[in-house]
Amino acid sequence: MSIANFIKRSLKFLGLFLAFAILSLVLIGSTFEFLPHTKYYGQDYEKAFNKKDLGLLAIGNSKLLASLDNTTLQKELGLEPVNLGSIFSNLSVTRLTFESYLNNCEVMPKMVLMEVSWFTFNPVRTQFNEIGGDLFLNDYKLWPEALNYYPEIIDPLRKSFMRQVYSKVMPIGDIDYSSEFKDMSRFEKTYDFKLSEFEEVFPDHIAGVDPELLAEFERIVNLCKENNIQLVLYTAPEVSEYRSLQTDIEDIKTIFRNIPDVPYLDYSEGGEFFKKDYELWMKDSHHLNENVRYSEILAKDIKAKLDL
Amino acid sequence: MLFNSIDFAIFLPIVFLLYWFVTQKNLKLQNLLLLIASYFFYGWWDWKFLSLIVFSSFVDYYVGRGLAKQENTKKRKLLLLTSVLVNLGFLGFFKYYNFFAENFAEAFTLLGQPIQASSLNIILPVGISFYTFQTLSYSIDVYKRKMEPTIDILAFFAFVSFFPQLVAGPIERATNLLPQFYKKREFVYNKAVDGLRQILWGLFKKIVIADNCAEMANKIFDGSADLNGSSLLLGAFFFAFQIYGDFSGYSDIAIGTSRLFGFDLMKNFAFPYFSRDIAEFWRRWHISLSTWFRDYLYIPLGGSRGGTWMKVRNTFIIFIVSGFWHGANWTFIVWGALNAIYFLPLLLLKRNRQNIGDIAEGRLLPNIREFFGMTTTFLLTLLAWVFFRAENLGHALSYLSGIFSMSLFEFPDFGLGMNAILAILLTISFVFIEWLGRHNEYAIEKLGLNWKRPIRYAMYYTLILIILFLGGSQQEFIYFQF
Repeated sequence: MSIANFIKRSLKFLGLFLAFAILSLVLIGSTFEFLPHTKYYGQDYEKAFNKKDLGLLAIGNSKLLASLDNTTLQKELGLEPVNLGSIFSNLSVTRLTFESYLNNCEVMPKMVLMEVSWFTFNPVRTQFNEIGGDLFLNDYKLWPEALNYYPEIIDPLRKSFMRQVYSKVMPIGDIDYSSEFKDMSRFEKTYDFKLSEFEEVFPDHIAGVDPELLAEFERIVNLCKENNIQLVLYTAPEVSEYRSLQTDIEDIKTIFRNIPDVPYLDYSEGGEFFKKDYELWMKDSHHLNENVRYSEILAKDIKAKLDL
Repeated sequence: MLFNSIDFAIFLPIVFLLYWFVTQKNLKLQNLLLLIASYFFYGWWDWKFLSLIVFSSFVDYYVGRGLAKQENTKKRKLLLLTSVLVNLGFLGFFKYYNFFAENFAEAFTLLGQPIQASSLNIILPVGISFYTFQTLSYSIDVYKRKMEPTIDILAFFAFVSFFPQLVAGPIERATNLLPQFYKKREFVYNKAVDGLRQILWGLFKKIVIADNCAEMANKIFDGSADLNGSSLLLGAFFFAFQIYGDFSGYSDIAIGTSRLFGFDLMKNFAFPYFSRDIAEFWRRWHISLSTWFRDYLYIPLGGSRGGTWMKVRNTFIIFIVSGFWHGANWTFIVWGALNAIYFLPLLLLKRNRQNIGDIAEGRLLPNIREFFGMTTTFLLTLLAWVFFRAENLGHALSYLSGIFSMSLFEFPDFGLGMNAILAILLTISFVFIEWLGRHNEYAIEKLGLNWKRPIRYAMYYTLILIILFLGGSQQEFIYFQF
């Protein structure tokens, strides 16, 4: 048989497969739902993309997940909140989360609360994680951007797809990020800071500013401006040992401090809102274990800053 | 460019179409296309290191030409030495400089004369261990008059840099591959289809088996200090299948890709984990490297001729050099030495060639003796892999002492989640398919050929779906680092 035949048959083989793949994506996309996950609060995502008129979006990574309590925020700020953080997520995922919400909402949120810290612009500590796959399966409007995130998008997309398929045939457990919180009946330091683990990620103690992540951050700021949404940045508490190793922290904080009309509330050491007591509220070097009292403090500080 | 990337999925069809539709009438043009494509393929990783391949190709081409004209033995030796020095010099500098610098410094410190080791921040060029050996084989074969030196510079350059096997083998012999660049290649439908099938199987081995096992192996080796013996044994098991799936998968993709272009590369793996003894294992594992060392090192050293001492010496040399070829670390040297220790009793008792034929020939299952031999060989290999994978000798020894403890009989405690169970199930299924296809060039070579097309297609689609949805996180091919 000739080469033309070979190509014809190969194309037929691939064509059939592609048709099947596209059909599967459409099918999964049309029945998509955010599922419980240990890396985020699935119910908050599900609420965000169904309710469409929320007052407060909280976006960020695990530091955000660990630091906020929705009930407290709603009580203090009078806005209905959702916590759309996910662990390890980078600013691309954060921006896509925000943009996807804006694509689908009916009423613009009043406020976006974003946790930022020393490693916000670090492309190793933060990554394009699984929630990124969920966002693409949920919102076809994001697809034109898919190639910008190749190849890191492949793995999250594949995992999200698999979870959706699993969930259709067998029950998925309801364990979410809240399982990460430790039981602390007394407030005391319960963790050991391991320098070796820190240096695996930050060998030079420098987090740096990745230009692509910085551009994503600027897009978030601009999206808020364009849609008249109040953006509030904050850095959740961190322990001194961890903070003292952050060689380039001041360079990073300068970025957060210098955005016009965007308040920045810094609860880490050296910050305006720092308190030594916070060290006892932590579950590790940079994640809070106590989110009710902290959310109360944060909400009050936001009200004071914005004169609400 | 990685075989398991979208970049390669775009690159390959473009080169294929240009090769068969634009350049097929002119052999020189076809070779030129392959050369450009190969440099592009390599340059995708880092253009700067292309100069090494070009320089190495120039040196060996002109050494070959010089050898053709030269009859004087001394001058011939000098020419060969030039090729050896250039190729091994590159290898030595890029791969071994820091190792020697650091070890010399340590040795002097131990002797009470501390000196400052000046290690350099050297990047190891991808594939340097492979293409230097390939081009070296040309110079040696021409020197030994086993082949005529080429006068076709284009064919020679394309042979050295042939993209399917450039960065991780098989390490081709000039006597096999170079003549294929002189002849017009014809498109053979069945050969191309077979190539695609082998690529598919290679991708399955790499993405599904190796990458899934890698996640588990990394987790266990990284946290080995806190794990029990059964977890550590499982970690070695995962690594054994990671490295096999990774490297033999790469070889399958390389061989399959070559077939699409009308080339035949040598077989590099022949179901090594079904070997009945270590000698058989080494005839089935990384065949292109084993035979390279056999032909260009072991036999020139005297091979298995001579007295017992010579046999012991030569066996240790070949295995230790083979270990050192894999990396500049004492762990690789010990890995090589350990394999020599495994191999020596068979050699000395003249039982190293007792298992030449196929295993369980004409039977579905092995007999008890074969099964015992396979299991023992696999377990010995497993222990040796611990040295190969460990960060350093201390890590390897503590890992092994962890395995040989009472906790070996406890339930694995590394967090046997869904991923681990999936990796185990996939590996068991893989071993089953490999066993069924053990008499072929690769496991699925003949699987389903007599089935109706829709059923055969369904099998291929299933494999593709498994690759897409059950594959592990993308990891680089392990052998790139060598």
